Amino acid sequence: MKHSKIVFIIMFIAIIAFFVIGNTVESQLINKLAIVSAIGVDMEEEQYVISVQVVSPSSDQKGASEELGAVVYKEKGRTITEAFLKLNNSISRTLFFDDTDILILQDKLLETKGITDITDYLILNPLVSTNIEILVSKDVTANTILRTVTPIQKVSALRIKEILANNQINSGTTFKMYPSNVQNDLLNNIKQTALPYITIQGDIEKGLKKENIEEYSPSTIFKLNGMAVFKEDKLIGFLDDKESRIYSMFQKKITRTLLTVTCPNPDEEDKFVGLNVTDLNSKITFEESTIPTFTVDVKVEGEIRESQCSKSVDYPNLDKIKKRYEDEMKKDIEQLITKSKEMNSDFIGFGKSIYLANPKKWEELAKNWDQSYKESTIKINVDVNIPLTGDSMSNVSP
Amino acid sequence: MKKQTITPFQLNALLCLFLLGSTVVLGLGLEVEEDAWIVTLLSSSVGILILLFYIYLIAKYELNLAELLIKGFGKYIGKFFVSLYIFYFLYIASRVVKDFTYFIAQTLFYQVEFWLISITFICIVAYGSSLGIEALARTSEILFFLVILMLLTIIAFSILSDPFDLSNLLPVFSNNWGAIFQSMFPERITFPYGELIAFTLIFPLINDKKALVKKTWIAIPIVTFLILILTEITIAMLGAKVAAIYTFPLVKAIEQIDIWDFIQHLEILSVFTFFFVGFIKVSIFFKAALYSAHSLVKFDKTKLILLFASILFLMAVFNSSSLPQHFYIGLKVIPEYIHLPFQFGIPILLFLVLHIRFKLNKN
Repeated sequence: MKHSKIVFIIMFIAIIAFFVIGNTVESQLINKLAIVSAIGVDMEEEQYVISVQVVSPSSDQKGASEELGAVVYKEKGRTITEAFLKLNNSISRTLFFDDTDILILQDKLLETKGITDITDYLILNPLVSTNIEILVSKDVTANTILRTVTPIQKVSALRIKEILANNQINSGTTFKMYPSNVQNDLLNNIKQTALPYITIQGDIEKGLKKENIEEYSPSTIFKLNGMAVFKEDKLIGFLDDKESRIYSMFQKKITRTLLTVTCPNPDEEDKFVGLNVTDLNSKITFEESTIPTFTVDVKVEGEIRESQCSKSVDYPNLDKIKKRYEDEMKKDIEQLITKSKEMNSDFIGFGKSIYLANPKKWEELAKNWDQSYKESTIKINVDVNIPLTGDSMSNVSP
Repeated sequence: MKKQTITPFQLNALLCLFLLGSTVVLGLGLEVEEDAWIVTLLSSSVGILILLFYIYLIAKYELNLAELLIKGFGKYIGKFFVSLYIFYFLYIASRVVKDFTYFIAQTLFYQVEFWLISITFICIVAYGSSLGIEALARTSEILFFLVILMLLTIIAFSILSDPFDLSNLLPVFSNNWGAIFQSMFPERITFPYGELIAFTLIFPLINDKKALVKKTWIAIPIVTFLILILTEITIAMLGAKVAAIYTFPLVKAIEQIDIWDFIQHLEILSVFTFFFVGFIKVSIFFKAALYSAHSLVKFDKTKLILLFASILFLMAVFNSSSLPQHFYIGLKVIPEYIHLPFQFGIPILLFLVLHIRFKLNKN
């Protein structure tokens, strides 16, 4: 047997294999796919309701075409997979999940059933990409959010994704959460998880129609207000704007945000100074004693860009303003900690700081952490540093 | 048989790709979570000792493993051991093929039959083997640079992307020695380092015996470094708990890469990497089986390749029916009952027997 013969045999098998492979993957060609941009999960009568937002290929993103950017399909099922299977009864093409950006979960579903089923599904299913961003829909169903007509972006999933990214960078109230983050929090059980939540502001019914974007200021818009917090796998509450900012700071996810306080002068209670925070650092230190004791060190660096106060921000006055910021921030942090203790959920990560410092100690404390956390004492140190005060040191107003 | 030549660099490239095979996508020591780096470092230092032992065995008598077995244990027992080794090499090769098959079915082609992926892969291996070890060594030189390039790309993009979070790596050391040693022995010692036993049939082909002893071990630190970084990146991207859950953690980590909404879904890089390193790994096992067979019977070379390729294919199709079963066999059964005797039991016994025979002959 010669060498050429072996080549011939191998080539023969390979060519047949190519045809068979080609034939089996043909149904997945790109122009025959329904590209899913977002998935919404709701609950109705103890069953999962899946909504998928499929990008409409005929609508051009840039051109002013008449068509809507996407189509939303909805189906019910006892499991998520079952609902997805039923979707195929009304969709002409294979659903393609690799480019799915957003997963929206209804608040009611997370309060009663919990998030475990959904994260399990996301981990097990190879079709859904791991870099999908999870959000909670507050007061409205995920289906409604996906059906809302949005300005700027024709596909609302992209709009939500942009808001989320912009919010994290510029406002610092929320941050992105991926399935792996949630699953890690659930498995480690050293810190309770949290997800950003989205609501609709304005007339919901009006937002579902195309007229919504025919005005200069749409009557119905999305709003990303903060983080929704969990106790184990169940949703237990929502943090507002300010609380979310402090929470995000503790998670080290944001560096830029805005702090506003009233002027240091006692007779100027109704006037404000704004601090553009440019750098934000937080650290929780665990000190061993009979009851858990923590020290929270927060370092803020920023610049003043707007001041309504009568006194200028030059040398001695600036320190007074600094003091105001430190007190205000301390109060905010205390409020968040009290709220967390009331909710009976350590979402800030005090348990995590013990685990990182001393894993053995955490094993002891973990059994009764809910109780120990309530009893724990927390010292807060805030250090505000304002190296720059805009383009002028003196007061501009007369 | 014609004496073939492999340069020390080519041998190092072969070793690197061989050791990266399978480990690169399956992960090394992720089951101990944040302590994975300890497992990687400790098992690689044991790996160097294993490699040096094999090199010593070969360099001392200047024969390959199959010839040594026949010399050491006599004609009949020796030949019996050699035929056992042939099946061992083919079986381990078939397991790598199956790893690759499941990997492709899981990440690239969701609907393709398993046997189809296996047969295309085995075709390439058979063709590569028919060209001889020199061609394989030269190929590994090119593939080595490609693999390094792709891994560096993965590393760079992972660090730059958003989900990369260094705090996932903490705590650096959880002080759980029990779990660490359980993961190391015998799993992480036998796989991938113990599998270097296949190289005992390749080493005699190197002309420069001095370089063999002096330079070959360098491959292990290189591989350890790469695996260490990949492991830490996987943990930083996914978190230790989640990384331990996934079957192919690296792919899931790569899936999270997203730079400016523009560079996304680089899974194909991991597919190519696995394809390259898997090809070298299977080819080395295949070649090792061929060389063992040569010392057993005089048989037509090309016919033997076709025969072995068919056996490999049948083994790859039938060695497991599901991914959980495949992993259970691979992590629980094989290391203890198959790897340990073949990688350490028989070679050490052989070493002792040869030593005693050598002494007796001298007297």
